Amino acid sequence: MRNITIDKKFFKEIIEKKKLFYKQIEKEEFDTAISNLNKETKKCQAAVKQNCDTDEILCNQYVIINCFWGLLRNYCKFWRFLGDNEFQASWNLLQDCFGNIRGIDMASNGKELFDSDNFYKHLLNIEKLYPYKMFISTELIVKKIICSICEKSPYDNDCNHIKGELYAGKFCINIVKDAELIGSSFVENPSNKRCVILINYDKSKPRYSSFGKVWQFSKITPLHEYIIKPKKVLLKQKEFLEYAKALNVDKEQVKNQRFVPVTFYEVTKSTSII
Amino acid sequence: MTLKIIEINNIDEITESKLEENPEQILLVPNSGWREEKGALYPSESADFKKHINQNSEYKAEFVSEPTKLLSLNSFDAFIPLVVLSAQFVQNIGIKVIVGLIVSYLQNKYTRIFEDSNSNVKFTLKIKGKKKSLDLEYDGPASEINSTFTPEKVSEIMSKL
Repeated sequence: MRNITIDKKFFKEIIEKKKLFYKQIEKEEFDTAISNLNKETKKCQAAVKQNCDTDEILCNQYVIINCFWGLLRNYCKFWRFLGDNEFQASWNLLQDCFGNIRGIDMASNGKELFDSDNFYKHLLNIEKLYPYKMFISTELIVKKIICSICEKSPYDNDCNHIKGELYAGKFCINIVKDAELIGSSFVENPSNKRCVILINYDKSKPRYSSFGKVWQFSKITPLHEYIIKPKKVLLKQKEFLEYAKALNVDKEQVKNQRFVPVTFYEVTKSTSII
Repeated sequence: MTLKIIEINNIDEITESKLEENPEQILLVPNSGWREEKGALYPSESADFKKHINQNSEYKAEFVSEPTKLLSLNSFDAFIPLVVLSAQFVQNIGIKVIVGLIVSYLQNKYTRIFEDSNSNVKFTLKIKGKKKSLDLEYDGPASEINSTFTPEKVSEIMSKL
């Protein structure tokens, strides 16, 4: 079911709570925010369980509200990974956030209530800081597949469920029962951006890695946009060699130089997204 | 963004006879193989695409053959099966209606794809005319599908049938 409208009776509570969570996230109180968001999720899950047999519309609304709590929780986890210089793990959380937005988008009034447009643009901008530009597309021959709602083949005329849509509080997914991997290829435009080529980097020297821009971004305040500018700096030869090692730059050209000019990108805080 | 209009001489016999049986249907045709894998392979989204047409329009979509094997790709290169239509049907309802169904499918499924100019999609519409047939191959951003099928383009397509 699509075009779900979140009932006005939920507005006051959602608006109050999201303000509180936004404050906690801005102050980088991620553990507190995650703990509170977990409580909200439990409440939503209990409400779905209670209403799934009697009120499908209400049930679906709770699932969408829970997608919003999930978005904020994943955003907190994303920032925690950034703080630990775990950039590859943070990428996956970023993708999870996009997944939550897909859920929120099922609500006709979700954009206003859950600030999903602002989050979407913000996350897209963050994606641009990562070095992942090509993705792996797996090529599978699927021989048996079932619908998670009715457990029939989605190709059976009796199955009317569409993958990704909500039915009595459950997202319809297709479960592959039998498949064969026949190949994989590099694509610029994948449907799942989690399939990346892992990039080695030294977590203790993130500035000199391919994740330098992400590391710089991690120093600004959450829930804010950024401005990125190229900045020329002079590195001591020893520092340059670290940089050269991480980015595969030619070391030979600086043999006799005490200082080497290098262009870094400076990422600074811009406007709030909320 | 590109829309290639390619004139073709014939389409396969099974598809042709199905279309003759009922020219008012939207036929969904599989890929004929992928890499070393031979035989009919339907894109893994075929079932959802068929349901979308049948649940959201007055038209009827049918698979040309039983989908026994599916091709699942992590890209938008072959997200829907080949769509085959009779020229008579296209003349009656207008090609924009069919294009609209593809766009609304994408909108429902990948709402935000229209906000990302880098998100390319590829699909092919095949129109079977009495003498000639056409392949319309689209490759470009989802957001530009509708605007690509301008009245001039539609006239050009119709004049070739």
